[in-house]
Amino acid sequence: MSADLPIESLVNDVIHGNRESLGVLFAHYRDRLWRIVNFRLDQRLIGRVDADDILQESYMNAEKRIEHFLHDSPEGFFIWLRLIVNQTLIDVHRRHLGTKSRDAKRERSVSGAWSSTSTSFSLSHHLLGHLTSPSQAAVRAELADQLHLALESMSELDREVLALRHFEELSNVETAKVLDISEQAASVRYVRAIGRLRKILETIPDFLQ
Amino acid sequence: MTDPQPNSVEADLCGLPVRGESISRDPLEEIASSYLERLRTHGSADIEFFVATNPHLEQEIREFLPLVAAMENWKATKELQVVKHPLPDEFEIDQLGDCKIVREIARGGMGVVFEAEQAPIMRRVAVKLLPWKFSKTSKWAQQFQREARIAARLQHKHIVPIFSFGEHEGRFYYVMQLIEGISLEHLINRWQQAESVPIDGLVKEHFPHLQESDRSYPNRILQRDAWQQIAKIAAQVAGALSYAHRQHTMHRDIKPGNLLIDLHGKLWITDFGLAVGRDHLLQGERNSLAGTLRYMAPEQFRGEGDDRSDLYSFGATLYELCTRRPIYQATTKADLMKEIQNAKIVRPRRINRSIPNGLSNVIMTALHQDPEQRYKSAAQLQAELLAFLGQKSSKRRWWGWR
Repeated sequence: MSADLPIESLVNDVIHGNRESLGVLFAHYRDRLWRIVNFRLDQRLIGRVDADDILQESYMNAEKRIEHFLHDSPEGFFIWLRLIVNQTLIDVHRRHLGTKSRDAKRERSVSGAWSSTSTSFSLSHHLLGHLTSPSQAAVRAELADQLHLALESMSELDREVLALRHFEELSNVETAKVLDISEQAASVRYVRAIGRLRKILETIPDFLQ
Repeated sequence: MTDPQPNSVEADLCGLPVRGESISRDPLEEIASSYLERLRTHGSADIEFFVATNPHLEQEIREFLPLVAAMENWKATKELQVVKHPLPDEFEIDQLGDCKIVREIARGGMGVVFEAEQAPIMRRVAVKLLPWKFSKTSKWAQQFQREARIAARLQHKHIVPIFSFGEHEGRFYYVMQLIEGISLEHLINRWQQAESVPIDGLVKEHFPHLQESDRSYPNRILQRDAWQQIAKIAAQVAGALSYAHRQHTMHRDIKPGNLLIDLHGKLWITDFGLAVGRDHLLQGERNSLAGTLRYMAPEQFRGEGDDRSDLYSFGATLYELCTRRPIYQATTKADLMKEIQNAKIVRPRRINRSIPNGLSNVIMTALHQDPEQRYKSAAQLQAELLAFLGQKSSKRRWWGWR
């Protein structure tokens, strides 16, 4: 985060309807939002839509919803942008993939977070991202199934904490806001989640080096 | 002096985060946060530092932080490139379509070239596999197929024919005639070290099975600074370009690496019109493949370009053949863009006085920043080269070797 940017006053401008300030803030958070999109994007959409398209659409949605900023989310502006990006992602998924039974699991749950199944799909895909050579590709397919099952055995909240801290790179405070829990709870959850993940990965042969 | 803090009511209305009371975070989580911040900012972080500053937690840290680090390493998005899946270092591909892979010939930013055997006809072919992974219904896939079909229609003695194309695990490949030859890029490199390069020696280095062959090849020598020879090579390229442009097909990527000389001394242009992968190269700020970008006409960086862009690339290539130096020395895209904007190309004769005026003029005309100031067509360029050759040797056939 650059020290120069007067975030608070820009946010204030946005609340008063200033679209240009929205643009400045969006550009400021763009890298982080891009990372989130990449993490959450269903693999079937790779090559059909790219993160830049989704960010563009998200920006337009954010513009339309400037007036709702106060009502949707009294918390941080970045969290609000993230919410819009997530909503846009869901719309894009629905547009391309329809709403067949598997995809229904990717719908928003009532609390606004991604469903547990979609998080574990994303997690297992990205955790295995380092296995790229052809010989590893065969191993990867097998590991993906095991990893997916293992991740399912974690609690939904633990899984989401890992996803938010590592793949969306949210801070502890931001994670707490998104999950609607206290900062202390988010902190404790993270430590426990890492511990549980370690135990899971130890049961999968060859995973941990 | 501290700034006045908003009171909590105002803060809610303004959408600003409310500073709560101090909370007690799990110390391991706090350590992990600092560790992650360091890792993400500097690319590395030292576990020992955190052990040293939290000695009472040494055991826990040593169990905890490695997995935190591993999570970061495992991120597939580390490269921040989703579509581009880099080619693995070792291939275990046996088959691409009906082509049985024999061995890898060459590899570069634009993909891998294999030697293969095409069933059922059992002819030896070259197969080029592109590094970009596309989904079959994406616009890239459609563009690739369109370009491959256009390229396949080109029939010219100096253009490597494309036989077919296909898709393998999301990557596209195309099958073309196998040319037992070497690229001008290799030749220029050799010329840095040796004045004369026997062509069959150089080709056999790249095609080892030819060493056992009992076929004999004419003993052709490629001499640096042999202007007639170079002009003849250039004229062959110009002729092929002229043909292709008449068929409304641009090459878009003329450069020494795409020009091959075979054992008979014949020039071939390869990779005609297949730019779909190349557009991806332009999108990343991070990539430093200035080696493939430095032959590109200025207007192509802006997304424009027509037949005359090929002439620019041709000029840049001919420049390098004559001077053994690229027109720009930059090694990263950022530096290259700056050099292109300054547009200061050193005249060939300033690098080597013996370069004839005729050749130098051809080069500098083709390299004009403004397409309008270049040759009107490849045909015109070819005519200039033939005129140059005609002046020197009216008696020799222009395509012969010395």
